[in-house]
Amino acid sequence: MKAEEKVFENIEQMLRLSPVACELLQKAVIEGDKSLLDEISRIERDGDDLRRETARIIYKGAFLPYLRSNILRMVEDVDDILNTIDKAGKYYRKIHNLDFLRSSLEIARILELNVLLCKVMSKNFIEFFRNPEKLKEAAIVVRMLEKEADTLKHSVLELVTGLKLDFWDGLFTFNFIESIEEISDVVEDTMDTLQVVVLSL
Amino acid sequence: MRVEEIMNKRVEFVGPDITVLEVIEKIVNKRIRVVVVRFKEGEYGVITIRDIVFKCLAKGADPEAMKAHEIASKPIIAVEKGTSLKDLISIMERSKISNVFVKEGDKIIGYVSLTEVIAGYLIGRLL
Repeated sequence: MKAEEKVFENIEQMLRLSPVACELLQKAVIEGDKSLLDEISRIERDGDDLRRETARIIYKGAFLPYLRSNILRMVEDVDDILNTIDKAGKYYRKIHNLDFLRSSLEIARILELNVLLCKVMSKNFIEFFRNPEKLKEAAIVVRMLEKEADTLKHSVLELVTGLKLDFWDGLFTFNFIESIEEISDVVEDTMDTLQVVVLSL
Repeated sequence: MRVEEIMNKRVEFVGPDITVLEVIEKIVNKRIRVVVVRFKEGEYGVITIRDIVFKCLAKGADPEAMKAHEIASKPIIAVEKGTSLKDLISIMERSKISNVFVKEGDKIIGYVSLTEVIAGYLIGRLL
């Protein structure tokens, strides 16, 4: 297998991990089951391994020099998706009073949007290079869903301010909400980088 | 793609006697575009931001004095959970409405606006 093919295969593999991690986080929050968070951390470490291996292949000479920085940036962006999901899981683990998060329709929707965003990216990654029209469609979807997640975050933060939580639960609940919305931001960043890469290739 | 896969589950209900100003407050605070007026069990009306502007503000009425039931559109157009996106689009086109509610039995479980239709259509092509 050519080095370039291996790089794309690794990125696709990293992207395939993202909806799995998002679904685990969604299940953990809906069911209040923190034991699922360990699996998210394991997935994040698998992502790290793939990122290191991919960076090594690029440094060894895959792709023309002018393409390398953007490809490496895309690898880091994808890794950042997994890191952010894991970060959200880590904040969730620290929250004691989970009632609000379990019952909030807004939180459930943001988590659902993250799953959708990651599925759109992972299922079409290779196709994006063959069919740039599909990439354009996906970019619109990603922007729409990210905007919805952002609106929901602001709406849910309004509700959080009315909750009677102790300081640490309030802080970690706030950080958790920020992080789950950040997942959609990072997917959008990845999409932007991907568009640059497809254009350069 | 089915309506429940794309619907917005954040349906906000209000009573028929709250003021239009309170409806505006709810729409702004919750960052939504539609509220459902519950007249009695199983009987609903809908208020969109369009209703607020055209049926209250444009007529020079006082939103603090006008009640929700005065500007609510009745009955609401709703489809059963499980309806396909294609059928939903044709209902929207036929009825010339931009918000369709999704019900399960007598209960409203969500709504789909034109934005959700576009997102659902594109997601359906990608997944």
